[in-house]
Amino acid sequence: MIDAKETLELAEMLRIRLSEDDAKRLSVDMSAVLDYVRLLDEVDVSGIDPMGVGVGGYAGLRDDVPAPCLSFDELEIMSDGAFDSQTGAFATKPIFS
Amino acid sequence: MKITHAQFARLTLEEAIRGTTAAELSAIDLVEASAARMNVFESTINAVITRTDEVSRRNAEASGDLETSGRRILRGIPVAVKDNMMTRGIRTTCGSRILENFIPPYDATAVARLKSAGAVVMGKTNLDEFAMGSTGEHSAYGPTANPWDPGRIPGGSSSGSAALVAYGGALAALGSDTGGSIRQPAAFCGVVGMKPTYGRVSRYGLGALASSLDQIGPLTRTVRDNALILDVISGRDPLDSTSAPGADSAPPCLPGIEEGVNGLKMAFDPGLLRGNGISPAIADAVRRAVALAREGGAIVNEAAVPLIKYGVAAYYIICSCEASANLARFDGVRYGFRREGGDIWDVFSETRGRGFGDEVKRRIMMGSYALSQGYYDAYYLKAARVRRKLSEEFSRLFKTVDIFLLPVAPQFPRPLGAKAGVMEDYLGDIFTLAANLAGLPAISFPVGVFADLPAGVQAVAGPFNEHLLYRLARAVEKNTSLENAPWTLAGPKEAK
Repeated sequence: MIDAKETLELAEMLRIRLSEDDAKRLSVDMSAVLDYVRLLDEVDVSGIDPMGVGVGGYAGLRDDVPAPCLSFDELEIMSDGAFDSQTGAFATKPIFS
Repeated sequence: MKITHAQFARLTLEEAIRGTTAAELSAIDLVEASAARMNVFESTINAVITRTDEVSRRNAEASGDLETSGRRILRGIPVAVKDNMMTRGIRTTCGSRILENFIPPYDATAVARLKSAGAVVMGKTNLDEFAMGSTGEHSAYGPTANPWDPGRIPGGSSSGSAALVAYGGALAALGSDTGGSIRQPAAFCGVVGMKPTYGRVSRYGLGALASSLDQIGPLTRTVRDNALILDVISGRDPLDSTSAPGADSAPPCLPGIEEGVNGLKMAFDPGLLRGNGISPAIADAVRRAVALAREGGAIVNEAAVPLIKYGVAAYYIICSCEASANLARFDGVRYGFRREGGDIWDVFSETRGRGFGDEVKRRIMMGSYALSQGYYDAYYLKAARVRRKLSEEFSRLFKTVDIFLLPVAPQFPRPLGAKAGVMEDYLGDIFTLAANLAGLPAISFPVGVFADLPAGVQAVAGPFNEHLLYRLARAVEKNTSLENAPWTLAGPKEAK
């Protein structure tokens, strides 16, 4: 259902670098799953609304009021674990060159 | 009073609380014994990714002056947390290379609630990467072994939480359950695991796999301990918009737990005990639970939820679609691991290609494929409609029945490293996925030992009826013995 070429294209779109061997292997697995989910065609869902979450219901959103953002200490904890950080900020390559 | 690691492993959480309340045990005694137990078992089991011995000792010492009362009921109690829940200042990897150095600046709400109650976090437990998997083998930090037989899988994805509690390294652990990830490893490791009603426990600070399915819950050795922990971590949380409005008013679980099952209405489907690749001993385990419930005065009839059959198909579409969105944030900039490349786009692609394991890549790609133009209706929308229909089937059932009994998994845990096809592993989740799709509470509890491996049974109830599930599990527990359980042993078993 999904071949290695299509898998490579999908991976590129998702910013996941794959080798051709990986793409072959993953396409076999994904095809097996996509074949299996055809089982759903047996279920008559006409007139049924799609369901997004379970039965507990939403608590809803918080009031839209300002809240404290990360403190400098917290930012330091975050950026310490990042690959490249400078004074509490995350460093990366430029988007435009 | 100093205790050995072997004495600690036999303690229940309630016994430990009584010990600290009576000043017979100190927090530091418990923490030292927990660490000693891990020293003996971890090289064989690999249940813990990050140990926090020094932090735990400091926290235990700091808790020494506080009174055990009210909200501090867990003062000095050693617990563990699945490594997909944020822990302030402690590395949180989600079992993935891509987060190998990530240190969160905050605690997940469930973790904060445990800490507020006085618990001491001893470590972050191993898991299938980003909670994707049901074997405990898909972790960038190595597979976890089953303490009942280290040659077998412990189940997953809360593999480390289940294994750690089973060998007696902690008195309780938190897991997360998206499609059975608490209940299945609990069954494979002979412990009790609860997946609460969706929204009963806050998901704030849980590394998201599938946001509409994920739920945090406890794993413990005893049913009472499990109820105690759930009562501590439950509740409405303004930081989680899917936290349920009814979470604060849900009946507490521990107070009525000894009431038994007399008069409760239950059902099971004999059809599920035939076919589905089910082991005869697993089917017998369900029949034994049914028999014990009847002996206790429950009214048990036969009933079916036919759409359970379609749960695997619906689940793997919905879960993959949500995972593909949730995991888009990992790009090598903000979180630890980065693979350098020529430009920013190469950095993203190389980082994600090397940082994610196969199972994660597969689900991200499958989810994006199913959500793409031309496929959305056929896959995601169809699955979401089947989900509604399944949920409605359960709603009808729970109008006349309190509890539905079924197996946890069709088979006992397979040998570690045994090659299985992707669908073979996915179909092993057939009995657990339905509760997640419908958002219902479901518990897994042991009913005996068959050929030296524990067998668990699953029970599902209507929304916020966890207290009924605990009454059943407690009634069965009183009539169940688990011979040669790992927590009774001085050291790890040999692999068979």
